[in-house]
Amino acid sequence: MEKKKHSKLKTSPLVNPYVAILATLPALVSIFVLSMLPSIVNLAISFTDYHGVGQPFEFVGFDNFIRAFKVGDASVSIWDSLLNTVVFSISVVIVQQALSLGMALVVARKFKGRSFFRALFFMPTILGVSVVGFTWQLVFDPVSGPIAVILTKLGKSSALLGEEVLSMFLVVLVAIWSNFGYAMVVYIAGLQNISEDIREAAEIDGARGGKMFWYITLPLLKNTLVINFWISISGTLAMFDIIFVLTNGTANTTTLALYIFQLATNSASNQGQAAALNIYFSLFVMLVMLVFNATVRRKEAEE
Amino acid sequence: MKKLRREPIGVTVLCWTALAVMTLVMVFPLLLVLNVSLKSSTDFLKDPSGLFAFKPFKELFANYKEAFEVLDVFGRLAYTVGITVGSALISCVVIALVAFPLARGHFKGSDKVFTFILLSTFFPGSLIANIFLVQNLGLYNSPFVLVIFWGFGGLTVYIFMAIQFVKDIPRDLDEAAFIDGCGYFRYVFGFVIPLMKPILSTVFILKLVGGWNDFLTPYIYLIEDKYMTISTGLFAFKGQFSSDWTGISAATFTVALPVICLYVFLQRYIIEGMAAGALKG
Amino acid sequence: MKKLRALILSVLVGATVCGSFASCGGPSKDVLYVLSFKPEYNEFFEEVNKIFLKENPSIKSVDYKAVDTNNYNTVFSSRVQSKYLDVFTSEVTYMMQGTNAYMQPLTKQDYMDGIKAEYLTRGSFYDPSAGGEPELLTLPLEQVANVVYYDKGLFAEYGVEAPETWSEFLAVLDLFKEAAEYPVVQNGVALTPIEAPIIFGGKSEWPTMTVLNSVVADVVEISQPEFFHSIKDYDTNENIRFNNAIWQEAFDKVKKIGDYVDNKIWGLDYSFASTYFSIGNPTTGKKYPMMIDGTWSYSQMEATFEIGAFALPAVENPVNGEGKKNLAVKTGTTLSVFNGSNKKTVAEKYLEIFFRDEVYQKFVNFTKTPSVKTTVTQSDELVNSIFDSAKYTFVEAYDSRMPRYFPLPSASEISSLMKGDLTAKSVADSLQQRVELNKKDWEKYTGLAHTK
Repeated sequence: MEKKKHSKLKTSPLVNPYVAILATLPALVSIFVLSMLPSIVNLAISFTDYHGVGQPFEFVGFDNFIRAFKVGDASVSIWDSLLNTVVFSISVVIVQQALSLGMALVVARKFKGRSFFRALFFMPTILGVSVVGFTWQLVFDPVSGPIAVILTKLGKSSALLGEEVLSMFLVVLVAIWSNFGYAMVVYIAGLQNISEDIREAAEIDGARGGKMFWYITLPLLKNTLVINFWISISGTLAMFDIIFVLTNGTANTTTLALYIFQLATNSASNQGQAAALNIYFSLFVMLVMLVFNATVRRKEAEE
Repeated sequence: MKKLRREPIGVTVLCWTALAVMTLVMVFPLLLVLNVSLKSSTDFLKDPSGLFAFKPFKELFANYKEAFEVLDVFGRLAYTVGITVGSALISCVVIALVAFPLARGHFKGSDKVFTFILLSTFFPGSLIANIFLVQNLGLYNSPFVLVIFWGFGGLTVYIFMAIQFVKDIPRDLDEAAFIDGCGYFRYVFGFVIPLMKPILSTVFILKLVGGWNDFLTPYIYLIEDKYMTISTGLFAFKGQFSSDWTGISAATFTVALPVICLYVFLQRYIIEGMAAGALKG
Repeated sequence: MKKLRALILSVLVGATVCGSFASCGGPSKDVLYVLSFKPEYNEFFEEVNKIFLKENPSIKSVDYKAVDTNNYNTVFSSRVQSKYLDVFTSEVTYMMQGTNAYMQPLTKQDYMDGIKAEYLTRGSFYDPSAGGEPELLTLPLEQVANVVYYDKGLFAEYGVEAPETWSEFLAVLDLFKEAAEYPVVQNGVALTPIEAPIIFGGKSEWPTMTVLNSVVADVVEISQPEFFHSIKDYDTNENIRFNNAIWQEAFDKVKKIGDYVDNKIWGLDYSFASTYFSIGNPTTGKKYPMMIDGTWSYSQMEATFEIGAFALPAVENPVNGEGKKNLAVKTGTTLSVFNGSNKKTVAEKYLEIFFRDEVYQKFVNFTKTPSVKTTVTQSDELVNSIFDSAKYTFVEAYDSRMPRYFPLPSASEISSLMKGDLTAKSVADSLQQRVELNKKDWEKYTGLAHTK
């Protein structure tokens, strides 16, 4: 006869609750150590002028938070980087989603070789940021790259990744190039979920091409759209490694995430300042995502 | 009866044009890298845009020889694959272990734990704090740091998805197993995990690709060259050979090639896994 | 089958975990960790490594790593925190800016006898507020200067000479700018086509500081020679301001020079600049007559033409109180022993090898820098003509002589200034604002020096 364990935590006669708790521990500890603890530590650091292990530092109160908005301490001011972040994110998200949806429609059709194209367009996602970065640096070399050669033949010249406006455009281009495959693949899966019968029924009713797309396909893709936009927006706001490899953070392309990264890895800089900026940045991202969620919910409620 | 509908010629032409253009855009940069990598430095400087000159095998691949030596491609590739696969597996195990008890409510207060996890989404991580913690805990130069960040980090979203998934698995199955005397962990590893294969394979692939792409983490936290992953190795390569596009191209292509090869074989699984994950979320 | 799968899984996981712990032991006692920010000197360091290993059998290998300037800080910080470091390269500037905290004081030893006294002084650090004596923390290997390199052949072809005043400099720049747009034909022969008057590595942004340093060395040092020495009197001396007429003139001139720079170079990494200066633009075949850079890159240039160099004349009468011209210099690469190293005595032996006459002579020949030793001479004509103390007064470059935490114009700002996106006044004003804002931070460090 099995001994019944008397425990205040027991919910089922078959399961030892302590074992269950043990099972959850790895995840809980990870979440605490890797999500919560760093945030708390970050908050603490933001009130100091910490410069690195072993260096003396002192408590400076809200100094870092206020200073963030004054004249830029280092290479980029917070306003510039915020502007860059917004421009970068909006451009990437919109163009990327449009492109991936468009290509998804093309590739989802029944034709020979469609899985080849699907695989081809998805490939940049798994290449790795270093590979993508160096490849495009070569393409954009202003003196000996292919674009430079073409420009020279046309009698022009351009600094490409060094130009004020063009550099952001190019960075956006590379960000889209390396990530649209993922969104496209998700759209294809979403499209394939739309059953053939619905399409046929719509066709019989006279829907063709554009009308079919707008009134039938798009609404049915709504979930997929929301997911892709969510992933795209949150991913793009935090994205900085590709910009780092391409331009190493020039004034016109540094987004807030990259700026914080540069401060964080430069031991000589004021880490407290970087921590304060990080808090502002996280609040900004949360705000954007909340607005996004609210908009989606409102649209759903409308229907 | 299904009608075979023919689409208008205009649409077909448009589609194929789009495919052609996009294919060119996808493939051109990589072909460019290949082309440059086969030139010698002097050749490249004389004629940056032309096709590479056909030369004896040894000369043609001279850049690759150097890249292979400096990058230590095979060793580093094995190491990178080992670490990313290991971390991905750990993620899967951790997620399954937490999803099962919480989905089933195997202890009082499991809903509070659930809320705790939900709350954690409001705590954005911080690179500064991570660096601070790693440095002050003395975890330098240890691949353990990579495993911690990749294997145990960023799991919250997947945990929720997994919990949803487990709720779909009928309770009778567990109860039957427990009545038979099956151990808790044995049950999870033997039955739950296989049943969770769809969600876990998504997690596995996402974590694998994520670890592969993440060249900054090893760069920041690891010291000795031998512990750098292949993406970081490539990034650091440029530091040493900064002004030689032919060398850098060879290194880039050397890193890209094994990835492309693996991808060609596994693409179906990778693509379907990542798509399924997104849709289920 | 299930058991097999479980076995494989647990082995993989176990291996990962165990393998991860493998290196938690700290830096090895028989490996010398050397970190340098001079990938250009790789060859030379490798030779020194060989000698070191032969003479120190207790060390099994040298872990030598060269990182480019852009990423040096990140790597250096993690090395220092983790203590995987024994010998590292640095600069006198970095020492004064805080790296002194990581440098092991070096005891005066025989091998230092051959080093010129002024370099030993510059490598010393003294903090009056801490009391005590000045400590020798870092050994300079070289001295570098900011210069304008030029193609002697092209200059002769176009009938110009190295300019000696600001207006002459502008005239030369204008001439080449025109030649770039309207190719010159003389006596029926087309002269070598010009791409643009000036090239340098703009995308990396920091090279613009060489332009700023050269300009400040004339504009500020000559008109207000006491300026930099009086920073500590900032509160009482109203002439010590960074937005006064002198500084605005300096920023204006930097901006003017930006007009003559090839617009493409703002997308060009620094490492490519000297290559393209040496061979011209490979796509168009046109040449660059001038490059603004430092003498540190001279040894890497493989030019087909004769290279000349002059100090950038930024004023009409670039003659200082001593009757000489100003040359912006700084002590270049230095060597230090990490004070957290677990093998300091052995590490210092590494330094000693560098300063042996036969080894240092090779270094000086390889890097083409002026020698810091009395017993070794530099034979390169160009280098000696630049570091000619009869012609030039060596003034410390602006960006390396400010007190710790003193705000400098950022490289990004100067780049934007040169590109024409910012005005001189806005840069000057913003610099002044930052100086005011950070006074609490930098005031404490105005007393740091090399000697008592």
